[in-house]
Amino acid sequence: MLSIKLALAYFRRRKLRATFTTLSVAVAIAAVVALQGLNGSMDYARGELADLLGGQVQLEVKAPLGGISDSALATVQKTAGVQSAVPFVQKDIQVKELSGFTTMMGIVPGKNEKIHTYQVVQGRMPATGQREIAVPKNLLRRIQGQLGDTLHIQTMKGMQDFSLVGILEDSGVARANSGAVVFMPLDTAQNAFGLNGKLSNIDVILKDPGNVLTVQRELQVSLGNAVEVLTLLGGSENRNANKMLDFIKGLDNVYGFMGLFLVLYVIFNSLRVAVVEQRSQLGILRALGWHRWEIRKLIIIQASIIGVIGSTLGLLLGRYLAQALLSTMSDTLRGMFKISNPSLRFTAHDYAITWLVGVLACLIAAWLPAWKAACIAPSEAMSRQYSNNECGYSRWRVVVGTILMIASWAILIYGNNLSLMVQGTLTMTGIVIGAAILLPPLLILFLKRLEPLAETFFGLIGCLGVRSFQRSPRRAVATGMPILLGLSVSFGFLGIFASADLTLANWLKALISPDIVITQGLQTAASNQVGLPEALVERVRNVNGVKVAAGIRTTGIQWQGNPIDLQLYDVAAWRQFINPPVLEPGKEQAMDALQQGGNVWISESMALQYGLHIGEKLAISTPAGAIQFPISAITKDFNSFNGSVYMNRQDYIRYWATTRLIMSG
Amino acid sequence: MVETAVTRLRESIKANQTWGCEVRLDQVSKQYTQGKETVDALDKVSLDVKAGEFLAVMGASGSGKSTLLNLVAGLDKPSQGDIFLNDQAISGWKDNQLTLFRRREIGFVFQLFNLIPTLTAEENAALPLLMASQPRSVWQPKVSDWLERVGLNSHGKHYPAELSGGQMQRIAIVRALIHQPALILADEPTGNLDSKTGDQMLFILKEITEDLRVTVIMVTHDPMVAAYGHTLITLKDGRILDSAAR
Repeated sequence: MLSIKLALAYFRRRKLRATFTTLSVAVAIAAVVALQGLNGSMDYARGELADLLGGQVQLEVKAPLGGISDSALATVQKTAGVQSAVPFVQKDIQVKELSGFTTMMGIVPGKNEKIHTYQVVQGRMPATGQREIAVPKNLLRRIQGQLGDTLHIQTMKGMQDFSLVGILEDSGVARANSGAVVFMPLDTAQNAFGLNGKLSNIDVILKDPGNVLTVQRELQVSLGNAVEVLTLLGGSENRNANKMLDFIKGLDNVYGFMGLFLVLYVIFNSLRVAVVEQRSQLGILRALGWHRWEIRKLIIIQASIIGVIGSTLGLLLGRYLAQALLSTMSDTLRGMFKISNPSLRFTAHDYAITWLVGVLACLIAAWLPAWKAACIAPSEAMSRQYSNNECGYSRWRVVVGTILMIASWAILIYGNNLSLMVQGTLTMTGIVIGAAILLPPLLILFLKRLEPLAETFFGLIGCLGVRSFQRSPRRAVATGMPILLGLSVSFGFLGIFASADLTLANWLKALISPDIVITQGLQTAASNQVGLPEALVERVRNVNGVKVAAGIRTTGIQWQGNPIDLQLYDVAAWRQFINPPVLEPGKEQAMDALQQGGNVWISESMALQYGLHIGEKLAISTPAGAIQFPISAITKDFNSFNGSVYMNRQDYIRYWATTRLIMSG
Repeated sequence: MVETAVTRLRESIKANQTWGCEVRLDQVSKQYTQGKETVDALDKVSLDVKAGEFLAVMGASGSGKSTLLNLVAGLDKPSQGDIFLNDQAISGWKDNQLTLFRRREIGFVFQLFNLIPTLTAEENAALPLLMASQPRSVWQPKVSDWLERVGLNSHGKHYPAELSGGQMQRIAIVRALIHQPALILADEPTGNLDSKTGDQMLFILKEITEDLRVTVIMVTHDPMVAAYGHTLITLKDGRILDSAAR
């Protein structure tokens, strides 16, 4: 009781510091919540896409807007290699009880469940011929409804009543459109929405999944060009996007941990100062008969109060921060995953864990100051003697600090032969220790320059703490390091986040920068499993109004045991609508070289990782044997962590003897 | 273990039918190290303070007065010799035992008052009771009585910063006595007060301690203040220069 009284009384006395410390904890916890929430959303989006498109479906026949005749189903079923074909209709509809558009899926009860994941948690799936629907739990929560309710849906025949007969777990197809989806029988949907005799899609399961390309071609031929026959994305096809998202998630985690580290540091520092300030009071309490553990308890209670309030505020703040981060990422998520409305995914369990982590971090950080407080000798603490010795700063700090900083930067720039872990650890350690050693002289010099200004403009004399820092260099480090760390974390995060976002945007832009992109699927830039016929490029070129058409293929090769992206372009055409970020030599010179053929570009990441330079030769294994390709340019490319090689597609055709495309633009 | 030692001591005090504590120093020395030099703060001091006695310790600055108080309070340990409280040597006591003893049996009055700035006057006065986790319903009436006794009943809700030096010292005296200790240790209790207020303080201190038969050891450099003691010893360079009973 006395401990709590004293802890609160101290905070009342030091309102500003208590507020700032609590806010620091709140901001750090908010960052953790936001970043973990963002990660959760990305995982969810990826899972949603995989669930939507995955299952057992290998091919999807996709109709144009007006739909296709249901006779196409028979054609598909008759096609060699097709095991089964399940039709469905899909349409954006309006449900009276819900704002905005809801996705309606008309499915064949009994058949569709075999290829997509439907987990009925209550009731049953809608029956054929009935005006019945099933909805995900997520949607039910939004309308606050229950099984047996009637939902009103706008149909071609006006507003009609539909009975809610099934509630689905928020998984599988029920996660489509972030759960804003209703399922009804196919025939009911066709009747209600004027789709009689029409289908939107046909899911196809093959007898032999390895035969996907052949069956796809046959289906495309038999169904004609009015429909698209798409291969579906598993987790693997969009490798680069997934890698990029994993990279962003990794960064999120790193910054989350840095946020926690800041919590530890801020609390540690704040409590250390608090202990120094309360030294005399703690000495009195010890003299009057407080045990050491009671002194420790007082400091721990102070940390707990900050931790509990800061973490709680952090959760609230984090939710909004996460939403803001998500909104900046949602375009990218939408682009990557074709989902309509990515929403924050952070469960009550996640909140509880994060809150506990925040409070625990505060308690851990308080341990050392609490221990030191308990060791205060009462007789010394109560004496009012105070050292006025000004130590200034030692010259060794300038010399050693500067050497460490320079060495760290040298390792960062020239230490590419070291493993990433060693390089990163050495650099970070050197920079942090170097900064800590350099801080006192730098801070003192900086504040000394500021003192005259503070006196001239604000009449502040000796208020900048120069003398205090001169007496105790450690205080300068304790004050300056959190600021430096905070700034570096903030700028680093913003920089990397912006860079990653820009990279994703550029990557997507690169896909769509031609006016028209023809692909054989939804997202095929990284695919090396399927391909468009070479003749297609020529056909596209001959289409009236087409100015340029370039064939593109992206595939992978093994180089020094690592998977490398191999990007192949019809350079003469490609260079007319692409502006690649060539680092060296000049862009035109690089383009000329690549167009000439017989050489390659490599990505900057590959050059750094393997110490490669322009003019050196890259040995690449081809079906025609190992070929030495001179490196003609280095370009920025974030598609692959191991690196990317750009090659003239004619070279590829020559050495790999394949003309398959994945894209022509 | 801790409880047992302190309880035994308390029982021995009660058995002697006085509330005061007998203090004995036997050849006590205390050395401090300052840089490379060793300083003798106390040099083989032997002393016997009877239960209920008011001992004044005089001496110039640096003579070892405060060191003597710190050693008796168990805030510091002697380099040589031993200290006996009611014939029990405290040198073998653990930190927890000494802490509990201070909490229950010693009252402190400091020159700089040493009130807790974030607590009100009545909370400061009740600090030993708050430390013993006594509820407000128990300590509040006691504090009110004591504040009335020292003429501060209207200042209970004031913070130390809102009190004068004399008022703060009266609160400190209440804090030292409210838990009925056996021993009062006063370190220059009037050092920060004007002479009139100082006299009032000493009068209050002497009157109350005599009523309660509490042992008092008070250090001062002022002969007028020292005159309040039953016994006076003078310290110089860590040794007893003179000892006189009144």
